[in-house]
Amino acid sequence: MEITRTLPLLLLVSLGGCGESSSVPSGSLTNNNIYPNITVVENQNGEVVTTAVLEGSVYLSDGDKFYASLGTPPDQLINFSDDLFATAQTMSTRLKVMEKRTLSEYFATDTSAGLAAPVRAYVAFERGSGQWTGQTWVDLPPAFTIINPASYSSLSRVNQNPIALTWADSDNTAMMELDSQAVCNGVRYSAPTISLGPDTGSASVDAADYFYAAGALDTTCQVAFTLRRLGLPRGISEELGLGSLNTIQGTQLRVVEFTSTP
Amino acid sequence: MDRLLRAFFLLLLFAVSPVVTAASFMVSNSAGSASISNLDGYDNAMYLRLDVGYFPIPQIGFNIFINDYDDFQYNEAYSLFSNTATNAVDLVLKGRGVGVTGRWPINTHFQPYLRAEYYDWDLEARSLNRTVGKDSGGNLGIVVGAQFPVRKFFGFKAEAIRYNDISGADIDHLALGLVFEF
Repeated sequence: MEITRTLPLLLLVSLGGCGESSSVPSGSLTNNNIYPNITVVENQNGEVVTTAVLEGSVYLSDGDKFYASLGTPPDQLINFSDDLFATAQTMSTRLKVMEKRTLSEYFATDTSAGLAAPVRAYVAFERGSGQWTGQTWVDLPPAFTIINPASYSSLSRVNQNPIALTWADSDNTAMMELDSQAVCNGVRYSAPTISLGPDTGSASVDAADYFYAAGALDTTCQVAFTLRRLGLPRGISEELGLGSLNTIQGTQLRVVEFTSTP
Repeated sequence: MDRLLRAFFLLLLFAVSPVVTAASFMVSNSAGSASISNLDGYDNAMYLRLDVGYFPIPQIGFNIFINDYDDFQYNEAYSLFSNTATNAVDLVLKGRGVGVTGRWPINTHFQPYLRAEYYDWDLEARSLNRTVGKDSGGNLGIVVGAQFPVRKFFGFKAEAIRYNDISGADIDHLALGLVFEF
């Protein structure tokens, strides 16, 4: 009888401690104890996703918020005094209050349509008290296009190995990396990220690298290459007015799919 | 007492009768819809306006007015970026002004008029539960309309108003109203 009463209570207490115990609301922290790492990724359709990950299992309290905007600094969109109708239009479409994706990850989506390159992405932080801690920015790396392999082409892992991966509009100031996934007989395989080094516009990719665990399979598979051009990460602590060691980085991402035959 | 009141109003009528024939006062309230012609995506806003005027001769009048608008709201359906979430923005416009009217009393039931106005306005943009922008200024406006007197002291009016560059917006108005002239 005693056990039947106390066991559910013990279970509840132990469950209550799960997950939340190590998470800290940002409202309980001073500015320099909040550490976001920010990435801004543009894909081939011009869609831009800004993501801020709070380190240390911190989540935003009510009122604390990240703003993201493309092309115009958030502080100009939240406090303006000229051309109110046109600026309000820009504010309405461009200024995003970043939404929660997971406990400590926040994101906003937008499009680069209508903006001249290089597209500048801004992020700002505001405390629930209304204190504007600061804002930061990153210029997205230049856009590029994958030339080879062609979309939906068919390549043999034996006769066309390694694959000559090429892309237009190389930028030797950027670094490139490649992720690949294969779906074979309904099973998905992911290969480890391959660092391609400085952007020269081409890379040779061996089947053993991109096919990885599926390499031994004697079957036709669908393969997707995700090629990323990485801008240099930049420290943002002072600009954003938050903790040290946090960065912002811009990335261009392109995906090509093809059929891989034995 | 009634006789005294009747005498008073009779006296008042005689007193104002020269005004009725030569000069007149006008009070008019109107309601209408305002639209922004040079920027896409804003919904029309309803507005109310009150005019008080003086016509030293039937053809020429001077007026002062105040007006107040419903919020101009940005409609995301018109956005170039409609695939992304947008913040609602409300723009609150109100103001006051003066005008000079030229009127053509063609007949007792149709009197077209043209008016030049100076409009002194205040504008506030609100979003994210705060004021995000404020502006104020003064602009010239042009009004084209017509009065439709029904009785000697009472009638209707319809008018179109255009203000250019109110904080970047060209605003057109269409309104119907009541006119009391005495």
